[in-house]
Amino acid sequence: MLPMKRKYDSVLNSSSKEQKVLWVIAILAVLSFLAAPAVVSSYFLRLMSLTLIYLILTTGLNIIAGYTGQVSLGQAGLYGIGAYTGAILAVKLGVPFWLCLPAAMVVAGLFGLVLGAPTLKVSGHYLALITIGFGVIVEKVLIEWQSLTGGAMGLSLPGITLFGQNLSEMGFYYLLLVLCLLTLLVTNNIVRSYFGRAFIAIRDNEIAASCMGVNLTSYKLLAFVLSAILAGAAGCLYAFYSVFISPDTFIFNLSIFFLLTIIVGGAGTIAGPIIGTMLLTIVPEYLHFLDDYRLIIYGALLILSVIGLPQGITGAFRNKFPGIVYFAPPADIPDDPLTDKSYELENNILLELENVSKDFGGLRAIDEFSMAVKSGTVHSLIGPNGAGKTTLINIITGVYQPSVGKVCFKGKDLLRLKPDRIALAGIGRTFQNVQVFDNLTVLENVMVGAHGKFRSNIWHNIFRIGKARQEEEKAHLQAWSLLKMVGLEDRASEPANSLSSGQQRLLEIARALAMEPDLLLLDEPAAGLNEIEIERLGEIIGRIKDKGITVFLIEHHIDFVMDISDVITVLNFGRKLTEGCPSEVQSNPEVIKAYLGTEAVEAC
Amino acid sequence: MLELIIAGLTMGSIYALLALAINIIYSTTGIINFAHGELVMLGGMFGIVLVVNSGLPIIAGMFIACGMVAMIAITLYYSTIRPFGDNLTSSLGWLMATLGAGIIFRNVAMLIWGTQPRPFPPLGSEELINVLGVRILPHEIWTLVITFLIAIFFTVVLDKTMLGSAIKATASNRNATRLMGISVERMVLACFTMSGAVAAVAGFLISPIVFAGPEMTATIGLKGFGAAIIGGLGSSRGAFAGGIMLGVLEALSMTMVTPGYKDAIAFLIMILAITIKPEGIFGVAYEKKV
Amino acid sequence: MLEINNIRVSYGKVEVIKDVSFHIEKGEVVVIIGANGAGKTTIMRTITGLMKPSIGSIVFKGQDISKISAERIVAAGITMCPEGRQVFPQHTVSQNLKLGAYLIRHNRKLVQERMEKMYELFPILKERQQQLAGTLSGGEQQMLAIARAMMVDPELLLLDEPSAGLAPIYVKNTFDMIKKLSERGTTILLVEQMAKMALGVADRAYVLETGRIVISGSAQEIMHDPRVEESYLGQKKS
Repeated sequence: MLPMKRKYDSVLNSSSKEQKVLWVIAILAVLSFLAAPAVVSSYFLRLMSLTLIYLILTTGLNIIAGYTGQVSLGQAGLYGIGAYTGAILAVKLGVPFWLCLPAAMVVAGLFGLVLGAPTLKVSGHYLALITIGFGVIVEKVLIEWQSLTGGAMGLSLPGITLFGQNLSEMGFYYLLLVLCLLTLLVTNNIVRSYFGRAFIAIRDNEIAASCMGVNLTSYKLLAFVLSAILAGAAGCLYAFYSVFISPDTFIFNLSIFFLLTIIVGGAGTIAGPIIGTMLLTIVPEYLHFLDDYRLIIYGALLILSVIGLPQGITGAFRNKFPGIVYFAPPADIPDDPLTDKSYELENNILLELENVSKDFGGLRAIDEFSMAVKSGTVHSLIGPNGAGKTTLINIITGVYQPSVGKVCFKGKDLLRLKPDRIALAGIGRTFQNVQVFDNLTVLENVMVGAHGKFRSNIWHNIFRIGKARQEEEKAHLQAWSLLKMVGLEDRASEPANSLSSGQQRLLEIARALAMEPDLLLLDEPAAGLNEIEIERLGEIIGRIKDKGITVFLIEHHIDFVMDISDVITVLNFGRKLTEGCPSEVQSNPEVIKAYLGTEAVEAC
Repeated sequence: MLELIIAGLTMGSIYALLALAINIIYSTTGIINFAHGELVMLGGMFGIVLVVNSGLPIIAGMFIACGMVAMIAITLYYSTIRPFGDNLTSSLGWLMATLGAGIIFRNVAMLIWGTQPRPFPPLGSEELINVLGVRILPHEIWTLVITFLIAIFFTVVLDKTMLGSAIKATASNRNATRLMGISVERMVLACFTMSGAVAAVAGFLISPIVFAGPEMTATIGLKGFGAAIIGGLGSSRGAFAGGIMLGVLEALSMTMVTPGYKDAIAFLIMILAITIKPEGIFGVAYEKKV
Repeated sequence: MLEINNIRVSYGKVEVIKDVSFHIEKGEVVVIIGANGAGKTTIMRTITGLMKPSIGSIVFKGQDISKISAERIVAAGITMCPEGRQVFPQHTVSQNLKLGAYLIRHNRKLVQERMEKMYELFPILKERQQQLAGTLSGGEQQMLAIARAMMVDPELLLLDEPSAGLAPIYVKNTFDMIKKLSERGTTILLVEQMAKMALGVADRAYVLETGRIVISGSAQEIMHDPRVEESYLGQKKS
């Protein structure tokens, strides 16, 4: 009794008022679904069963389209594959339902890989077209391959037997309810884990996600496969439920319907598909007189939602009641989020650029640039606008490949490594144009930074067992601690895009530190900060340096650079002008010339 | 066999017409109009009303239909694309919106005209004529010729006129274009008008072949996108080449598989093209600057 | 000729320009200098109509242009050479120039004349006529951007950080060019980071700091004002 009470208390104390209300609503909803067969007509029960089947699919679609931002218009095809796999196994091979279901999930999952693979390098309308094409191909194959699928005449299935008895309508309803709740639970656990944060990071900002260590290919494919598995499950259930299937169910219009439920309900939330699916499946039943106009209404809903309510119904609720998203601060936030670093490096050099050049078409942006950054120092790069500073950082972090030359980190060549592997090697960064994950909270932004430290796999997270929970708690605590270090702990539960640009820069630093990198690259961290904030930034950089983390930064605020740097490299027109300690650089006439122009030298 | 290729060229011309119209919108906005297939369908349906029901001569009917579909295209722009302002490439809202508009067009057409496809008069006589030993319909020749002329028109406009230069500048950098004294809005509207007119022409040309009905362009519209992508978005030459290629490949593949797979083959070609070379035959790839 | 009265401009939620007033007389060269993030580009974009002030007015030759569209402001006689050049990379040099002359495109003879004149002023462009603008070097793109902005013979030419990222030879060229254009009668407003060189060609100057004008005067006065050098290189370390 006692452990349960303690858990109950902790949930009670760590939830906001709005979250408690949501819990109550959720419990009431589940209870009403449980009690439904006793209260509603048989026709309505069938409607609710169909809703539950759809909900399994749309929850899956939400993972790839809502959370990961990859618009998939081919779910009807995966749905059909699941349905026909189940049907063919049952009809042609006499396989019982309980085996057909996992088989359908596996087959659909494999097709999810087939669907996802071509989409990895493209996005936007190319992605949409590939998924549409996939759906059409599946539809045509289902019609044409008559020997396998029965063609346009369709297939009839046997009923489901449980302990020798046929499953009744009510029995099927409860089966669907259980499976649906299971789906919601599993999906919830996935999206609340570091997997979910990685998905959202990809949606909000692919490049930034990659630079935080998220492997874009793996996670996009994972999202596709998860959505396909659920679509396949829904399809198989549908096949046994309606006892007869034919290809004209699995058409493009159905894919649009599924996507519409996500858009209307709210992408990227667990409740979104629930609201959307229920609304669009049940409400039309009360508006039979509008049946002829149903598709027209869907079309209009699509247009109106995207323009007027892009975040869907749940999005509107979140805006009205921000308390829905709330993370309770831990009782004790540790002051020291970072561990000390020590190295054994040749000449103490952590990062070395050897004769690097970069061309963009006819433009030589970086010209034979060499530089060595020693570990444990604060090394700054300055130079006039357009000198090539951001290009250099992008080369170091793998966003660009140099045309000539080498980049070595901890003695190893970084060439050809993708940004996520470079991040995992120990280089963290911030961006010149702030690239926070807009739709994640401040706290979650920082936790994405720690992505590379997670070792638990997806099963650990689905079942929320030991390893996964420990890692999550640790990351949680560290994130709070980092926020405290940069002074943002009061804004932890707010969406990142509600911060001022100066605060977003501080958030980016906290995020980059979550990985406990060996080298921290800061791209104009002081831009847009007032004097007090700049002082704070200097303190933070001092603390980082004390921990042994090497800092390399680009800046225009010369006062600030002079104050905190050990070494300054001056870049002009893509070439190194000079390098040395602050006082050397400041009194160098070449540097004065580079910033103020020749008149200054002539006037002196 | 030769007949098969002619049929492929004819369908390919239709795909090319769609691709050309899709391309002109892409050239100025950087997006694809997912309702384009339905614009073509509306062209065909207006044709039924004007030519079959009201007895107007085909050419007159075509011109009027061009005007009507152009106006619908402009309405489409104002309701589904304009609301997104200058931020077209950063989110996919326009994709959903144009998709939704297409659904509305199709289903309104179904309410008005029912779902039964109707016969549509072809250009020229209904009898096969003999050209260089091949038996061909005049309509097929007209389709090829008209498509070729329109392709030349677009190539000339886009590549050789100031208007074309301004249209492409709009897609490249809207603010810099405004600094030239060019109204971005007018450029986009001009393109939607042209796109709508060409859609109507396509509608008139395809209806005799597949019969005019609200469902007729459901898959043809998608193939138009495929053709544009295969040829290379941003290039009129590409749109033409992509369309013809798709039509011919699709026709030839009929010798190997049953006709029901025709659409599946076309989409498979499209998916392969996107995967292997997303910029198409005539397009150019770019390294993204952060 | 141009009067900016108490404008306030916001970029999203951030108020970038807090309260700015200044003026430009016909035939002058006026320069606005200031550190990064001070708001120089925002002022330029507001004058050309790409952004709109929330408060205040912009009066050009007696007409309030603060509310009209960017393309009509070009027609009224103000053109800009934007930050980062922003030439159309997929268009050739001559196509870029012709786009600059879009408003007079129907007068073929005039467009041809103007192009010849630009080729005279910038011989490199003549050599590279048929080359795609994206393949030009930074300095060449700068020449092109200025030439393009001059094609309609504007009364007021705006230049946003013309020296940014240019090699020394080109920087000198650019400022020489600005001087030449001014002598031909174009009124010029420019914003710059390369303070001293810009002041060398200017008549008057303003110093902008976080959205406000803090110093104003003749170019000579500002050039020798020690406060300017401080704000660029920081206080001297001993």
